Amino acid sequence: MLNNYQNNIESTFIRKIRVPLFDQVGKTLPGQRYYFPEQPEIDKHLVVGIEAHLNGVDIQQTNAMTIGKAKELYVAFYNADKEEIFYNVPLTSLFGNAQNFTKNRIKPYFGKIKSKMSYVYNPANSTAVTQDLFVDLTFYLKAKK
Amino acid sequence: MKPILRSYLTEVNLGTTTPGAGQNINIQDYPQLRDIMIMGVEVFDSGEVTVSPSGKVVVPTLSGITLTLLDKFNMEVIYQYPTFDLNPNNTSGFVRNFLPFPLQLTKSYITILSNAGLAANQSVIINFLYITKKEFEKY
Repeated sequence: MLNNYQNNIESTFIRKIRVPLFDQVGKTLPGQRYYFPEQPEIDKHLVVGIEAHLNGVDIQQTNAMTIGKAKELYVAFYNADKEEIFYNVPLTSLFGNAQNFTKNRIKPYFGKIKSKMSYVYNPANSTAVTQDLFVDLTFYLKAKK
Repeated sequence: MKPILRSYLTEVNLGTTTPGAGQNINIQDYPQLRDIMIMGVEVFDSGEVTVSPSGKVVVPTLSGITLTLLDKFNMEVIYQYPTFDLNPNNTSGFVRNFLPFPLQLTKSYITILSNAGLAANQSVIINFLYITKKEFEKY
């Protein structure tokens, strides 16, 4: 039964990806989806946790995500059956180490994901972006039995 | 926290006028959330998300809003739960998990206890953590 489902599931390895939040001409438009790059390593293993990173908090990298823009973004994860298993997850809810958000918890999203169908959504009425930003996501993975 | 097997983000809009204290606002139908067992809920305010997926402004505070969830037998299984406590930002990053029950979304609602800080056309963002009934039988 689900109530006996264990709380903590070990991850055996980790993959971090960068999702570009801009198109080929460097524009970030409201109401657009920005798809993940294809990641076979993520696709063939079981995801047991997902974490996002924030520039100046737990990652220091050129064009990493800022807190102001992160509050406007949603991430949708699809599985191989084209089902939206985690639909429009607020990006800020995935920050594992950012202060004032999830406070060092890694969200235990659990399932198989199809990376090339998953995307970051920039909603209509969101603020304009003046630089090319990336969404940094870490996937905690486990080899499927 | 229990593993999150599926999640779906929904939005409850406060409507074209500022809701009065005591007013209930029903959650609209989302086909993906029919025939599901609900396992947990997260609610967000503008501290976490400023724009909803449909482009609406998100409520700045949750302290005057409660959530009531009904099961398929019209039982109020979760009755007037303060949404402030369903925001992981206020609970050390933890998500509230429930013993799974069959959710009847369209009879579930939020209640405005106080409209201080709220305005017309703002949205409450609710993330439902669930499992389909078909998958539930496997566990």
